[in-house]
Amino acid sequence: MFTDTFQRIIRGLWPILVVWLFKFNELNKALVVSGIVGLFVFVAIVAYLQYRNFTFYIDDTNEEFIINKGVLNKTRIAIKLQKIQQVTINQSFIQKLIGVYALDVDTAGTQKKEAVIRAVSHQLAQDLKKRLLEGEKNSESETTTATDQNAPFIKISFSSLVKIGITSNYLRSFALLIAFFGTLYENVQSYMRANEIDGDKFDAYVDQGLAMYSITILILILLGVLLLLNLGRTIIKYFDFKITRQHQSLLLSYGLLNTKNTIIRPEKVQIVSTSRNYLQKKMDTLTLKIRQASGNADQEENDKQAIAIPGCSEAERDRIMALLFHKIPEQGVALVPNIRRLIVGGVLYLFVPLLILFLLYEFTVLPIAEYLIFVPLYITFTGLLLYFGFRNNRLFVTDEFIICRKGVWDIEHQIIEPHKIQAIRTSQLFWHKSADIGSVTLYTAGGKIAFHLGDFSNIKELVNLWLYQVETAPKGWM
Amino acid sequence: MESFTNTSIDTRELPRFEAVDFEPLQADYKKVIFFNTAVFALILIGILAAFLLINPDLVLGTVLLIGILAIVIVIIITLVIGLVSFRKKGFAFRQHDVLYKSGVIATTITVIPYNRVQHVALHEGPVSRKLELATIEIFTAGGSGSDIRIAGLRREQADRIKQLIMAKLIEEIPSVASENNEVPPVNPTEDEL
Repeated sequence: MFTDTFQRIIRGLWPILVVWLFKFNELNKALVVSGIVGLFVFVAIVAYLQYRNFTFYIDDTNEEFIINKGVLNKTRIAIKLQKIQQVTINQSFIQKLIGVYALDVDTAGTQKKEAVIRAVSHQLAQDLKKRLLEGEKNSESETTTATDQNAPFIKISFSSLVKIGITSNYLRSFALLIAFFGTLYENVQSYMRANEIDGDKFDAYVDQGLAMYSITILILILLGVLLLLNLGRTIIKYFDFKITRQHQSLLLSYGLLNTKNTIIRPEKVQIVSTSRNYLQKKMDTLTLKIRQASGNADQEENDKQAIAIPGCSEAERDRIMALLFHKIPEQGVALVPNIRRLIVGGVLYLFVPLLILFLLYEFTVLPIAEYLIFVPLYITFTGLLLYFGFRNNRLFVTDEFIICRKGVWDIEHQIIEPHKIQAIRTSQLFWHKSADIGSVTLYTAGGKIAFHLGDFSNIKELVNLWLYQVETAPKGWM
Repeated sequence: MESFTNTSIDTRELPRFEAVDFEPLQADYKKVIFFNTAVFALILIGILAAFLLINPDLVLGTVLLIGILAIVIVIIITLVIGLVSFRKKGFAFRQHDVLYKSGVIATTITVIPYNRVQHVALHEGPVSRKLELATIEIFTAGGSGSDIRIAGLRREQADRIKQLIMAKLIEEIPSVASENNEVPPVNPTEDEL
């Protein structure tokens, strides 16, 4: 009990401490110290009262989970057991030290977690979770419970994590590298100009060589640091990744410092996406992302909430897919984006910038000439990005799955089932009417999938088919 | 799994959403557009006046002329866009879904099947209420991007639409409930309609 309270105190005090650290010099020291002590006591009392008033129980007659909390403002939260979407057991670093767990209860309704129970023992957490999730499927037989709980269905090995850690986030690293080269080039340029004034060629050559050498080393170090950071982040976040089968759902648990437990129920899954790049393909490893119904409009927010399973092999991916979809999705008829996509991209990202550059070069006195060496680099880089982005963009449609493939380096497959569609939006610019091309966006409760500039007659036909499927299918979206 | 064999029909024979006749919005809604534009114009004029009051030396200069000209142009553009987009908007209620068309530059058609509707809201602005107009908003679980908002409906019409969707929602519940019991049902709505 004391540990719980103490933990709350630390939590409560944390932001105030930060503020005080900054202001420390400006204030009277004695006042500050007494203030700290007073605040500490105050926070302790409040925390203790909050702790005293925080109770939770399960109301069996109404099938509700009830939480009472608050000191002055009393709050009573009642959640219907069958509305509970997800119960996760997490453990932050501090909680790990004290040996308690946090239990999050989530329903589909709002963005934030409905209820958070901060500090419970492991046994209690497990029991609660089981009890809370049972409420939903009380009709189901309980034969398949305890036995398969212990044996992990899939275990992500340390080496797979290393593979993912090394190979992911290349684009970000690459952009950083480009920026770095830019400044490097500028430095060398100014150095050379300085050289011209300076007569002594030999000294300059040595100096220059030295500078280049040290810069190369610096780049190598930077690259190494980037790789290590990526690797460390991946390993700390996803260490000891275990997937266990429970009833019909998947139980994930992972994390080195903060241990996280999440449940995925196949019927709540909206979008499954796999992502891998060229290197990861060669190493047979990929990242699987699962989006569940969240009630979030915001795509980015959705991305944050998506559950990632890093370092799956293809076989493991197929096993997870088989469990989630009851069969392995296959790519059917492919829809190809119109060539205009490539042309418009070229005009926007190649022609227009180059035209502006040319105009600036011709009509202003800006020192553009010395940067002209970047132009071919830019053209190849952007050209490649555009080309691969275009080539990889496909929409595969079968009767049971819609798969959208996209990406330049990291190629992503987003997979949805037609009956998860909430709404369909088609869009066509008026100058695309005669060319018969247009876009379609499929909205699901876990995010949207968009395919732009495809053959519009084809798209319309597909939309009719999907509408038919949604409107006649007996399957609900959740 | 009888329902699955249904999907292997010829997709060309399916009812086509693009061939639907869209119903235009009420002509009275133009008045709302005029009113909104007028309010906008008043705000712009107010800003100009305030600007001139703060800098009194500029009152009879070219600034006044340019300001008035700019306001006139902005108002005309707003009005034209408002009227064109009014003309472009349309809606249709089919047996199983609701369609909404809009957009000046890009024509966008949003389709929401009734069995995916979460809830329906009815709004009435102060001006709309005088004109007996209402706005209906149809929400799904797909986030704000997928919601349909139809402005400029007769109020009785909006009410009827709301009743219709509510009725459809209730109608859909049996099919959802039977899904939980894992009995593959013949879709009830199909037989009734």
